[in-house]
Amino acid sequence: MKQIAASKLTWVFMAGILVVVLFIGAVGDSGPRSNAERGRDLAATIKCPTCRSQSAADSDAAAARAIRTEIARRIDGGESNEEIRAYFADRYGEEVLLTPSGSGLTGLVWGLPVAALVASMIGLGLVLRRWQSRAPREATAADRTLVDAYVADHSPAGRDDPDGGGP
Amino acid sequence: MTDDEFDEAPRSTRRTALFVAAPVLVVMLAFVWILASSEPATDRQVSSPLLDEVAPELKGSTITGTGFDLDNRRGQFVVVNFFATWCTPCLREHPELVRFSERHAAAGDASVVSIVYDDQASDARQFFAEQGGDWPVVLDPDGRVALEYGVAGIPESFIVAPDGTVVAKVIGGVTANGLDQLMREVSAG
Repeated sequence: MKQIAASKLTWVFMAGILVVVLFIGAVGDSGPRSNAERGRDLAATIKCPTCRSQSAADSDAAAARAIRTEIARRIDGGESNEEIRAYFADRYGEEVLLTPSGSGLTGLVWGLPVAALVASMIGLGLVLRRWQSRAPREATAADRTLVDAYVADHSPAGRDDPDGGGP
Repeated sequence: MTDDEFDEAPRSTRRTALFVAAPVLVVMLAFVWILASSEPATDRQVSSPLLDEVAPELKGSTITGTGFDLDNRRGQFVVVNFFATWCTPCLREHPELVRFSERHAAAGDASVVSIVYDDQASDARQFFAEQGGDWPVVLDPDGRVALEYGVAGIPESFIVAPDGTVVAKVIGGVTANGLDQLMREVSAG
């Protein structure tokens, strides 16, 4: 009985850790930051449209400079990160975003792994529980008969082999 | 080995080398000729989120100091062309824009407006003085207009229909005939 209670407690503990980790991952970096920091982080998520494999934060191309200026202007205007990213996606297409947006179809990129993780943990829990419930906790009479027969066959007195058997 | 045999071996090797090298040389020359004589890719229409949308605002000062507002061009086709004087394909397409502009000047059914992309006003003035073209050339010092149009490289042209919507985005240069064809297609619906 104590063993079952301990097992349940372990599961509750693990679920608690999962919730805390997901919570920190979701809102952990949303603390107050300066507009410059926010702008730099945002520019790093937007591709420089005239460069190869460079973000608007890393490039000194005219387009990248214009993007950084526009980001700063829109931050000062009170727009959210998603609104600013949507502005660039509306002009250049979704491919200008180096990290997928959190809404619409592309939001699945974020949601699916989390959903898959939760579903697999639930599935694992159910399977383990079924195995636990299936396993007999005490030996039956038939088990004891089998064990007794085995012991009798393999004990030195019960062997028919005159040489004592074995290699 | 006799002296004749000694001479024969290098001669046959030379002949084999000639038979191998000659076709290779011919193929290489043909390849160079094709590359040198082929026309650059022009009138390449590409997708853009702006297609079928109202053209972004285009208002600003020109290189001659006058004002320009795209809204005042409603009722005619407008070729919004992004260019720079340091861009070779822009230099190559410029005579085509001049031809297109002159062809439609009398009818007034289409016009051109150029946007200076990452370039100096003085260089643009000199460019137009040397290459011709008397349409408005709008300055975009902070690149905001290019951003509004989603410009990813020059030359890029956006064809704005008489109702103000963007009907085509052309990259790599335009031709006068290509633009006329496009206008006919749009007008035909």
